[in-house]
Amino acid sequence: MSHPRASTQSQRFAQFKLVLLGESAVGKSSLVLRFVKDQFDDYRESTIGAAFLTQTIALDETTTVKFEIWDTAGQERYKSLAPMYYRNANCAVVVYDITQSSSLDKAKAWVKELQRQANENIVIALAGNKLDIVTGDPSKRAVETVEAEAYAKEAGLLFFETSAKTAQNVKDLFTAIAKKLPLDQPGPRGARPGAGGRGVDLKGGMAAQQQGCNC
Amino acid sequence: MSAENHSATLSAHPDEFPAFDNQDRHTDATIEDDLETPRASFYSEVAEGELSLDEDYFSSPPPSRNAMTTPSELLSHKAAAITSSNNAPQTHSRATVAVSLPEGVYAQQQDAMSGSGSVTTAPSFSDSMSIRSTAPTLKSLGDADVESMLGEILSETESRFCASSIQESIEESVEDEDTDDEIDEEILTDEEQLARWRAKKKHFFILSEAGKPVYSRYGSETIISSYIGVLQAIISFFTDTSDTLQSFQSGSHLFVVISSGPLYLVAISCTGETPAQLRLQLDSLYQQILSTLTLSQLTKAFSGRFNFDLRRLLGGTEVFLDGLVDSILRGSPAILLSALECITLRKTHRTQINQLLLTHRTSTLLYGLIITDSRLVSVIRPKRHSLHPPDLQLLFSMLFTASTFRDGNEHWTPLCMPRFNSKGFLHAYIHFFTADSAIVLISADKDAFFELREMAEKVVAGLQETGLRERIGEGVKRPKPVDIMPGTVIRHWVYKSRGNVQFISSSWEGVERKRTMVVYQRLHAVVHGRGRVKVAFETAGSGASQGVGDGGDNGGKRSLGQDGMAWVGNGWEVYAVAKRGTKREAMVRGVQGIVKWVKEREERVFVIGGATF
Ligand SMILES: Nc1nc2c(ncn2[C@@H]2O[C@H](COP(=O)(O)OP(=O)(O)OP(=O)(O)O)[C@@H](O)[C@H]2O)c(=O)[nH]1
Ligand SMILES: [Mg+2]
Repeated sequence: MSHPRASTQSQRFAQFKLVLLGESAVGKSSLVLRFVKDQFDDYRESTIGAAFLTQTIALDETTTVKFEIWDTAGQERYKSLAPMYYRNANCAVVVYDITQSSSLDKAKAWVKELQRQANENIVIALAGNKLDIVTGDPSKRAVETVEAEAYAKEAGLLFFETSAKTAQNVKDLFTAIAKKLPLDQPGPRGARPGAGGRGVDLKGGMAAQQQGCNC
Repeated sequence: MSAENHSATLSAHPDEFPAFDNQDRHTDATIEDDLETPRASFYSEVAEGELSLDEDYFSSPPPSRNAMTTPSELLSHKAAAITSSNNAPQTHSRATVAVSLPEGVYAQQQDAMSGSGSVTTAPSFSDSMSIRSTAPTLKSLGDADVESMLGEILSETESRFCASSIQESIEESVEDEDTDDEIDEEILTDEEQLARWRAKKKHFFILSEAGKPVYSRYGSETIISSYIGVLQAIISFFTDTSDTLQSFQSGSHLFVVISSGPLYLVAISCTGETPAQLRLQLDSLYQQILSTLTLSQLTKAFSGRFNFDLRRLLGGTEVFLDGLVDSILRGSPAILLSALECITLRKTHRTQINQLLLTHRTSTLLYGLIITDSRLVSVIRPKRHSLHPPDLQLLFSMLFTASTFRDGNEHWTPLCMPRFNSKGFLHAYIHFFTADSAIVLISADKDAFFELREMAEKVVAGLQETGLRERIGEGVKRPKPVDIMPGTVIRHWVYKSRGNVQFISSSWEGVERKRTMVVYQRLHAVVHGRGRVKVAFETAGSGASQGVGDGGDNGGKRSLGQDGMAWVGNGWEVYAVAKRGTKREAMVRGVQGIVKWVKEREERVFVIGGATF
């Protein structure tokens, strides 16, 4: 849940939960690493479970946005765990690899699932990653920009082609998301609180309440 | 969701996973139904043929609700050992290998050995020595040190075989095993690759019953697939005749096979280990797979899909299997001794760390651990639940042999601890708060991340404020033998406390680790062998490990350049090496010194019991 707080005078601070989804090896962790630490590893081990990171960005002089990021594992066996990461998310980055057309199909499936199952006001961005590869060798491209862009438009998604390696469009991607998120509205938005007891959600960040199912 | 189907595997090994069958899952069922309902419809959309093992992540019975109505003493470390020994292959199983194969594979029959102790005499070199003269150790299972049973039972089955499995090329085999991996295999021709692959001193394969490759440390798919085919053919030959192939020798290569769940695990080695030792290594690989999938998922993956390619489900965990194999190749006292290593800490410091964990403990916490440099610093656990050392060993290996978790980020991952409950997942919060130190908080509640995160923050801050973080850093240092016994002939030693299922090792600095581990391996085979000797020597000159009084039929091995000694006492065992040609008396004195030194500080070098709540 986000906690936009009107702090002193005109300073605005908002906190959002962001989840990354997409097939294994498309570069989710690499995008997060670029965004959070401004680094890139040529060799990265596949994510096990999920990693949790935070990053704060200044949108403008008066607005600060903190992202709480779930970098999920794309491996098939973790598929069933995804709902517990996106259920409370305010925004999602669905990543595919522009050199692998099948990864876009997976991305579309994630978008569909998010639109059906997640927070109804969730802001979704589609990121076609590994742009650097096709910049070097256009024949490596497997997903045309226009094609992905058209799909994104139709589905109501933000769209970027990115490179975690060269940092191209990475900051822009997250900034665009932050800008699209409503900053002023107080309290949790669009959440389906409790949603009729359909399971326990990851408890809210900072102030984890001592409740819920204790055994 | 579909009923679980374990029967296929379990019937083949009725004794294999007995420990948690008596769970009462009623409480869980109701809660899970709530969770399952919306998901059931959701996952019905899963495409045909796409694998969905969803429910298992959720249906893992929260252990705190398990009706593990075991008497409290069964929940101590000893209970862990009982489980282990139950997992051991039956001693009465027979393996008769009588098949004609290329390269002169010959038949080997293994049959049950009762624990008929061979005569063991007291060492006779010095009258001042207190090495116990040992009667034949015919122990009944009931009062034996249960912890060591696994090793002993295995050794019994294998001991006869062991003598003949000693190969001739130890000398080369312990050399440069890990240096030759540097070259990028892709630049080599197929033949070169094959040659390099065949030159490996040790191979581990995992394959499915249908002969599908699951894992191999080395070699490209093309190289290994034909070998896998042959292995599968040999193994299934015996399965068809309802016999169990356990091991066979071909030239200098020893083949060891274990059949676990729907998998076959095969080790091919010419490094002189016994089948029992190799079997422990294979078992650690199997446990690693279980920790990723649980036994339920593993079984289910193959039910109705005999040809299933398990690699699909193991994606991303090869690094953990590789890590395990590499540490085995490097020589792992933890796996050889089936024990954990701890860091040295004053008792007051260890208590303070325990206290920090206990103070900030959240309601859903099951186990809380601080681990540094693959060694245990501190652990807290509920009184009702023991922690099983093999489970921790797996966890340590995953944390420290791969870089996956070592990035300073916070991780939240499902994790099966197979000895605790092979059928369900726990969830682990993992955070390396320094390059070498991690806090791991384990819960049965998949939604516990944020509360565990808060707990971890407080604990780490507490370690920082109290200076305990520095104490941990200091405790990592292992003593050199001369630090504790100036002038000693001992170059390196390891001491295992059986009761605590832990060991302590002297510094590896300046020690040839692989060769030393081979000496320990040989000694271990002797003291855990049929004779149950209590004292054994390995003499570099003769190249033979000899149990005192057992006649030591170990000819043919080459020297490892060091003399070694093993001594098994009441609840402990110690292994040491010294320069070749060292007088036995001096060595014995050194080993006695080690035992005395450890005994004087057991509470510092071992985590005794851990803190409970
Ligand atoms: N050239 C290039 N390589 C990239 C880029 N992003 C990621 N990679 C590489 O792609 C591989 C996979 O990247 P990861 O970030 O681990 O992929 P992931 O999506 O997190 O994968 P899982 O954790 O398995 O779900 C790594 O070897 C990265 O170095 C990129 O923008 N350009
Ligand atoms: Mg990743």
